[in-house]
Amino acid sequence: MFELENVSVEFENVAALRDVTLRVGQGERVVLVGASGAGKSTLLALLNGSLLPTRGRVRLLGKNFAQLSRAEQRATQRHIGSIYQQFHLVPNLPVIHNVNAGHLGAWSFARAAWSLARPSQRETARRALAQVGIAEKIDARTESLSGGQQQRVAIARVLVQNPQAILADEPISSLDPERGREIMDLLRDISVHSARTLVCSLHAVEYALTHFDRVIGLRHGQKVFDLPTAQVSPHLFDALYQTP
Amino acid sequence: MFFVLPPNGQIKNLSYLRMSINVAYKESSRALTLPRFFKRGRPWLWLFILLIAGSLAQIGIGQRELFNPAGLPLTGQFFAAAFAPARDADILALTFTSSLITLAYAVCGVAVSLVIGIGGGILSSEVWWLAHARGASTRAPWVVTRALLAAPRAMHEVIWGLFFINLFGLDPLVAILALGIPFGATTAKVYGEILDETPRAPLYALLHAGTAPHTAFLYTLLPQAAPQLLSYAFYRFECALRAAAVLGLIGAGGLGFQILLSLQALNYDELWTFLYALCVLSALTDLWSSQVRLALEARGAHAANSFTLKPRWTSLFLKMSLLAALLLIPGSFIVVAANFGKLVEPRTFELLADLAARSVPPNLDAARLPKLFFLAAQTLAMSALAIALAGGIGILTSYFAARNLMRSPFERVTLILTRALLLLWRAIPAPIWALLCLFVFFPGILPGAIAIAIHNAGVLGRLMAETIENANARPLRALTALGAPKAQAVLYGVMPLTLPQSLAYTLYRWEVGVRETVVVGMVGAGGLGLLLQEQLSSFDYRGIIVTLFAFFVLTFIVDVMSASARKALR
Repeated sequence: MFELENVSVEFENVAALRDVTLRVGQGERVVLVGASGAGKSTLLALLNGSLLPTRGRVRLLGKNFAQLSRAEQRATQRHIGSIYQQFHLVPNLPVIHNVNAGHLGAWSFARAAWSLARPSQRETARRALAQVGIAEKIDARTESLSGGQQQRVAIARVLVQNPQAILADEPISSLDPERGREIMDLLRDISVHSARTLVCSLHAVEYALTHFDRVIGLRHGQKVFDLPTAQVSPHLFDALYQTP
Repeated sequence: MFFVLPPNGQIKNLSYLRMSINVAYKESSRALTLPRFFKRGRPWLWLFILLIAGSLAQIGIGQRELFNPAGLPLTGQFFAAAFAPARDADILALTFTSSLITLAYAVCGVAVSLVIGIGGGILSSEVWWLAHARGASTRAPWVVTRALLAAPRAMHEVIWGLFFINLFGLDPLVAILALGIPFGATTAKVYGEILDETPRAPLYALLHAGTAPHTAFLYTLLPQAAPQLLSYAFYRFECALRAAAVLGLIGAGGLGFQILLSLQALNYDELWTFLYALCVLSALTDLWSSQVRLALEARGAHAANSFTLKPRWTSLFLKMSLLAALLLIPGSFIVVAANFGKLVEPRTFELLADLAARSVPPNLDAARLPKLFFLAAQTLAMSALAIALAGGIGILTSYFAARNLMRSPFERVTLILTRALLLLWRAIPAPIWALLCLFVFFPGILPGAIAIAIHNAGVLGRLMAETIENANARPLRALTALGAPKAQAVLYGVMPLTLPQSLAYTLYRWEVGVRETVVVGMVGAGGLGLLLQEQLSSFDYRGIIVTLFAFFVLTFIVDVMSASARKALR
């Protein structure tokens, strides 16, 4: 699914990732843990093709992403869905359009434009919203929803996109603990039921051991450990967050 | 560009004017200090004083006769007629149809300008090009588009109108394009800026999920920015109505045309009927537009529930307004009945080629350059004097036009009278004011400056009153509570808060004022406009090209000066 070979990323000579090599297989549930600035978001940005590495090779769905044409890159990206800390929804559109945005990779411009006037595939959107538990909000203005509900809309958008892999960048950092647990359960269930790959970054480690089957620890842009959940011990986490 | 970004990253400040004027005021820390203008902006202050002194010297105060007492009886008759406008059925019917035509021209012009504005706005936004090209430097395309849009913006609608008359003859098409093109270029600039200021995270979320850029735009930036884009469109409609009246002066018909006819025939009672009609039309569009903009802002900030109307009513009002606008546009095109076929007729291209052939080579005769330079300086002086007057009058009157300051019954009456006066000032186009000024002043830049000043004082007074109404009310309340008399409380609690913004509006209006010098000049008030009028009547196209270029440079200089002075204000 995802392969990184000796990948480094630099932003104006500041190294965000250093010589990272890893491989994520179909259906795996992987969590990235580490302190702020450890390189989690950079790594996820490589995995959805929004960032190209400074050095090394990134293969997404078996293809060397940097060497694809723009159209091929987009075709690849359609199979990778992303969820963000700040949801990245359009606040003043009704929920259904934010959910339907998941279709946009496949829809023509004319169809997308027409759907803004008369929403198409309403049933698909309703099912996706039902799966995340807010089917009744389909016509609500998105900004009128709570943070937890907005994150559910973002997940419904990914469900409609129907990707092979879901990437989640700090999906619960702006939610209260109870809402956070619900969202983590939802992500795990979606991944388990459809055998979709899930790569998630978490600032706090409480869900790392319960919701994932593999943990990757990052520190200062380097991979510190990469272990099955069963082999991870608490002192490994402590090492990640220590100041040098 | 300045925006208040609340934590959720959503833009709450919908006022494109406040936005494009770039005034950020920190409410608490600024409350009781002098505007920073007087500290960091001191060079600008001196420059303006110098400019004003220069323009007064230009006018030649104390050196030659300015005032023409022979025109006083005529002026008396003019004002006397204000109390006895013509009311017979013929005139009223003519007034009604003329008003409809002016309104229709404004609507058509705005419709064309919105098409140009949306297309040009997208193409001149940085984010559109960033979304298309990944990583690589994408500076060039949008910078080029912005530069291309600067030229049509620099020319006043009337110049465009005179150009199109040459191509299309006296067809309604002339007025529609003359309004649509410069307004479209301005709208494109503002729309591009709005799009660039809109939060981009949702756009990138879709792009990274493999969505094509134009589709991603349609689902993120466009709906996100829609309230602001719509709000600005309604503001443009207000401006278009005044511009449509001005275009009547060059033969486009409607109220402006009737006003000119009755002014030339000295039929003051009829003239006042038309002027009142223009005021009413202007008042109605201003009211509609301001209510729509208010409702759009309230809807954007729905959580703040500071709005008086219930959300349901706001929403209904917006829907009805949109519907009305959508009906007005085809209706107006039918009323105006422009011959769009002329756009593609071979004859048009022949005329265009002929015009181009007669305009080259530009007449760069060295003997004429000093005169051109002198007239350009005169025009600059006229605009500076006009805008200084307009700003001063606007600031003074704005306090009497602000609802939050005028509460007692006596003050209420003053408020209504002030607002009516501001409406009259801005509803009557600057060239009409110029013709009136020429009753009592000898031709020169003084009557031109006064005409521009009166019209713009009407515009500025209203904007500044809005600023006062929107300002933080706490300092005023605190000062009133400790027993300060009203005038002192306003001086310490309101003026420091609003003066920077008022000055910024004034500077912003200077850009408009310098464009207007050309029309008041054409009716005889001097400057480059008068030269242009002379060249037009002698078909000196090679000279016209040079004059227009001088005018373009002048506009550019004023834009740069105004923008940097506004920056100093921040």
